[in-house]
Amino acid sequence: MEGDLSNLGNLIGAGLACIGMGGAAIGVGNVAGNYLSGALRNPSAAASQTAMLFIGIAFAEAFGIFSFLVALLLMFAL
Amino acid sequence: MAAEGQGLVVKPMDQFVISPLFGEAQLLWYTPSNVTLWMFLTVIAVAAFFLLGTMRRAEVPGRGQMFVELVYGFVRNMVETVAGRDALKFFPIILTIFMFILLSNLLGLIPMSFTTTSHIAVTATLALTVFVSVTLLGFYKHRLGFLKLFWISAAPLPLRPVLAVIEVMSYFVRPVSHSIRLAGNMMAGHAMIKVFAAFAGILGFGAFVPIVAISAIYALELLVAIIQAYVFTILTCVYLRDALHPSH
Amino acid sequence: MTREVLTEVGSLSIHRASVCLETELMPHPKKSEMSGTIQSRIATAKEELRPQAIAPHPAEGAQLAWRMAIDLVAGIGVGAAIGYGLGSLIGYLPILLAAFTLLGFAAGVNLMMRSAREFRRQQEERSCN
Repeated sequence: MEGDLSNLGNLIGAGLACIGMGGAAIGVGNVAGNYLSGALRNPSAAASQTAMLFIGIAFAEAFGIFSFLVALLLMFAL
Repeated sequence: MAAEGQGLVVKPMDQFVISPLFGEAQLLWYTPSNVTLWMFLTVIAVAAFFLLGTMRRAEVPGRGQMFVELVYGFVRNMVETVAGRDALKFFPIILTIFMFILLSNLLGLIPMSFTTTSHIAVTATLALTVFVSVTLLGFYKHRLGFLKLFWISAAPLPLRPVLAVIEVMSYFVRPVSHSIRLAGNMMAGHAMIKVFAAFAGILGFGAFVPIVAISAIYALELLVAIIQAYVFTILTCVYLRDALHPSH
Repeated sequence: MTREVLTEVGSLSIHRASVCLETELMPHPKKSEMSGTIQSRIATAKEELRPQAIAPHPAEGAQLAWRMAIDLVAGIGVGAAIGYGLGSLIGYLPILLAAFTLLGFAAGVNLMMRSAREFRRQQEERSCN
């Protein structure tokens, strides 16, 4: 086992940052699920709202990518 | 971490290491490396695809010629619908970009090969080529009128300077996301396959589960390889359209 | 008939073959086809030749969402980089970093909205066809 204490801290921090990706997963699931339930209630309005669906998914996913970036930074850059 | 040859050894990033081809000690910018080799193979594959496919030039096309014509017609149709008829002048370079990315993605899927498009250095070069040439083209065609792209005349006057700053930044964000998207997609899929392969290595008899998963991911990767080439090309067309018709 | 005129050099040979076939089979156009000026006939023929929208693919939606997410992240990244660079040029000013990160976020949202508009327009075109 090589490495020092700050390395250990970086790796633990990277692991903690990955919790944010779970949050993004919850968010994406929430957006898609609500879209689907709305679309099943009123299928005729569904097609006009797909763009909004993708915007919602993108916003939720972006923050997951942020936490992933933070994890990468902690592991390789700092 | 683990001892040699036993335990979970996950090294998903080893496949992306650039190494000199002929065993030189250090890697300089002109050293022939595996990137050079696989880019060269890609160029040969593109040339072979078109040359062998259209060699007979039959009036009733055979299988190979049919496929070449399909790809040609697909990209041409894409340029025409997305960028407009006057963009057809630039169809050759767009077809070249599409074929280069498509074939380097597909060649990278061969086991033990090297994926050149998984390196941001490669994709950023492609994206910057598109970015710089499209910007120069816009200024050449419209002179300073090209700056209308950033000056949104539909917005109320006090908002326009703020929107202009945001538009300029969006313009500079585009090559960044253009290159990161391709490299990130290719790298993520290949690394995932390696992680599953490491699982297969330690499970012994139960290894068939990760192997089935690897087959599924491989099929997905095939799809991603084609779609990423398509997305890169269609975004190139979108940028070209902005340069040819800067007013919104 | 006008197709033959409009067929571009370098079109596919299969297209060429079909055009040849047409001209052989119908050497004389009908009277009704002759009505109208040559301009209007050219216009309708051009309309026929206009390329159709590319067929949708199930993976396209996921690709769009992915594209938007990366645009957003890249926007913030570029904004932060510009802010940091300018800040360290003028002596370190954290306010520049904050301001440009926010601007980068706005740029990302702007790009996202643009691709959403593009997608919506494409969808409308498809439903019209």
